[in-house]
Amino acid sequence: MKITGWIFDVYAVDGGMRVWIIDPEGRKHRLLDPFSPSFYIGGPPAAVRPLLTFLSRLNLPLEVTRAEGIEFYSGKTIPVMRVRLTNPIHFTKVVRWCTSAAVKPEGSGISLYNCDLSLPQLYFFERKSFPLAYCEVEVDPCGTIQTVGLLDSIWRTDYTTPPLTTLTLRMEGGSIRPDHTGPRRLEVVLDGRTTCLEAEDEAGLIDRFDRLMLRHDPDLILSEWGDPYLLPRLMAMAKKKRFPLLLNREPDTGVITRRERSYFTYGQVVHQAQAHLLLGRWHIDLHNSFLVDQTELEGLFEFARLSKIPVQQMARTTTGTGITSMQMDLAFQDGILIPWRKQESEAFKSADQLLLTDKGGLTYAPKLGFHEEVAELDFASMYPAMMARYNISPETINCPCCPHNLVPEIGHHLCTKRRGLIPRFLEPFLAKRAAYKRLKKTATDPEWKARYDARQSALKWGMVTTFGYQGYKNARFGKIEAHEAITAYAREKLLQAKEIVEAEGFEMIHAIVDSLWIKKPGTTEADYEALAERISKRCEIPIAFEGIYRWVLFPPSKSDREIGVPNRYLGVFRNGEVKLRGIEARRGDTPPFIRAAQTEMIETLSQAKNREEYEGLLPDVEAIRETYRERLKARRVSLWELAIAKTISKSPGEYQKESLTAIVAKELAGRGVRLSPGQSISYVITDAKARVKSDRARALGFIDGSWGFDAEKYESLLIQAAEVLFPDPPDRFRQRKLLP
Amino acid sequence: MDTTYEIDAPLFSGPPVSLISGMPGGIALFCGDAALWLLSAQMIGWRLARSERVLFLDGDNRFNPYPIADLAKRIGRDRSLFLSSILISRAATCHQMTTLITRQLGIGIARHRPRLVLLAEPLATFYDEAVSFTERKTLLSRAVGTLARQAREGIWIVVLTSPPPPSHKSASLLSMVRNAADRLFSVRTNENEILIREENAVIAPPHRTGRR
Repeated sequence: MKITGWIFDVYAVDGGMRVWIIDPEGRKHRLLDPFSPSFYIGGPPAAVRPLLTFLSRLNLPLEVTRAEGIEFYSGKTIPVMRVRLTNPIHFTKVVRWCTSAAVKPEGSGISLYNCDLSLPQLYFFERKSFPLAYCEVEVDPCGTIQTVGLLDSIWRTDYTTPPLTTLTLRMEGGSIRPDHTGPRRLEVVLDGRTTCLEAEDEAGLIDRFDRLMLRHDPDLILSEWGDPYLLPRLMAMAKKKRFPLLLNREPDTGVITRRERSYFTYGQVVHQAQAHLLLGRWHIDLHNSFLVDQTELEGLFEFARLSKIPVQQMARTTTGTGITSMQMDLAFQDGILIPWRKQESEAFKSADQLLLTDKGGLTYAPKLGFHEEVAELDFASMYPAMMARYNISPETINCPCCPHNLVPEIGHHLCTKRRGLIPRFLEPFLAKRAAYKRLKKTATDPEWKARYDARQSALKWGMVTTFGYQGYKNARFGKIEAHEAITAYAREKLLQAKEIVEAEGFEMIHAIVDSLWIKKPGTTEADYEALAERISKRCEIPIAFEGIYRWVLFPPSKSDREIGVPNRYLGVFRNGEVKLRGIEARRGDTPPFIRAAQTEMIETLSQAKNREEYEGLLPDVEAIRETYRERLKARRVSLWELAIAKTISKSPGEYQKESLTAIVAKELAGRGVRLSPGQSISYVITDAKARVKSDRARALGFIDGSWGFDAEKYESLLIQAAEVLFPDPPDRFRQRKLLP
Repeated sequence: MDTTYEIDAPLFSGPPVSLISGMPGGIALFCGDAALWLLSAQMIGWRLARSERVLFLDGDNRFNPYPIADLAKRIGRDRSLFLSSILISRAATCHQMTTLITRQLGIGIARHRPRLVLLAEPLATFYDEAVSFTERKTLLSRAVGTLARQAREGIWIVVLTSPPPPSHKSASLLSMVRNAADRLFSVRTNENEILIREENAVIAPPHRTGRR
């Protein structure tokens, strides 16, 4: 029998991999693909022999054979032993034994390869297929796969996805985390119909939930806070009442859980909630997925297809893990052995070399205030473009063969003989993103336009991480020297661009890493396009002309009014498009009320064509501010509008200073809410100057009618949000005490 | 033994230099607060002033070149020569730190012939709970064994570490280094002084209590 459809889910079961296919009619097919995963052992025979002897004594169906593979850093083919497990369910256990042996002193010299990839990854790598691939599968009457014919490619841009039945699961009212608020009813949405289930009747709730699952058999459970709260609560209720809970499609299996974790990335602590993964069905928590948050399901699907990480896992992992998987796939297809754990340490360098090399991108502080007719030029995907252009990769940096091919300024050198893994990975990736951007511009169907936009946005996140991962401790194919080479090239490119624009008589207003803001009276858009071409040619990487701002405003720093803050500005392009960076309306911790006020003020100001018109709109902005101030005064503002969302950087007990965040974190902890670093909390400022510190702010989810809000404090936030919009606020704009 | 050490004391005369210089070689463990990094600059300067090279193995991005440059200026030495004589390698994972100690350190010692090797927060990489405790312990044991062998060759191996995070496992990792150390010092900033206390007792790993 032949089945045509999309690969929906893949996981290991006894005897092979369970493969779920959804056909174009939405029918689900549960199949089995016999699969025997392999890993490799390398090293001196004397070190490897005892491990092989150990493996031969295991009472497990496995096969050890001689093989060869390419060592990543040297590029040389080396002999290795291939360990092939007949049944994939033994793979993890055997690998664990081998890794334990490898870290022991007697295991010194043993190198393990391809051993810590997940089984679905290994399966997709080996079968050259991928999640959501459209394919034709030939199966025998028992449902065992005989052949898989791919009718799809990861590089396709016009692919479609299977028709999915979706069940939405959330708590009634608002998107606040359920354990940060009082008890509410559970809402289940199916086919546009919402069913409310009472949490008090636990047996009834589970029974009704199971009936809904049986009746609708959803492919996707899309939840709000399903990972940290809803699924654990449902599972606990079912266990208590000894009811089955029909979450999985795979019979007689439990929900797969993964531990929560907090980690530090790009200067902030991030919390990843405990994961609850289903078998044969997807569970995606909208609040526990970076990719879904940033790029919606379309972006997630794009990343899952490219990375070959199943959709549910991809939803909960970082884009860095995704791009690493893509790099591992490329290495796998090329016969490169994927090393277990990153062990390469940095080569010794002197302190003066460290000072020279350990620098980031270049920034020129903005010229403060209001500027008219400013153009913005941006290097397009600067870091990935440079990695591809200059062959920057862990195995090409400081190679033994090309000492002449120097990186500017820092003295590292790059290989000219071997194309690196990272540039090879990036080339099609960059091309695919460029294709999506073109398709987004030309698409006439709004649905496809949005789809292309989400997909290109997902790829953008992948590119951002590709650079960062060169310096990341756990990056499989990362090396700090490669990271240093990228920033060295970036500094050189920005300097070259600055030299060109200044030599042609432009005034540079601001420059940061890969973007320049410049102006010269009388310059047309065509002139800027031509300038961008000249810079691209000289710099050897493309720079794009983003547009001419009618005006752009660089406000001063809050702490020092004499200096500007890089990447903090607002401006309006000639086509009316508003661009904001770093100001309240764009920040995640701004209360919705203040954000709405500032957004309205900016919308008004965006009508201005020049400074004169801008200043002429001051009374209108004042009127908007007064309207909002009146609402505060009359207390016609809901607490939701005043909520401030903050991410906690430590556990509540670790806070020394009684900041508002610390006060509320402790309040929540006192109510039994378990908080971990990186989690977000929402609060309302109730009385910022209260003598009793705990009265200064209260958690949004537990605040009741007996609490008001600190109107004076919110008024000062409103004034601040308005003042940012004026480079030199006149005296009449300063705060007046209007509130009692 | 308690020793106080003024932060602006004459260079290279008092502790910590005197504490180490009496040793023929060996592992000295300094555990304490931010004063550790003032001491490390002093120790580095002491050897650089004798035209030696110093190896600095960094487990937590602790290397700060500016105090070393200041020291060079204060004693009238060439700043860039000073800075070019310190060789640094950073490790971010326990696997990297182990590779650095067991494979790269020996090569670095053979090439640069330092008398002094500093390890800044090497244990920070071993506190990573994403790696199994057994694995971390095995790796640390290998690393400590290598350090002990290098110390027997007449190298001063100075390990600088902050107190471990509050967990039984972290404490037992620190104990592994303590047990291998020839001298143990606790270091604390006390207004304008640094208080250095020598601890003679070698502390065995704490007994496990309660349930895991």
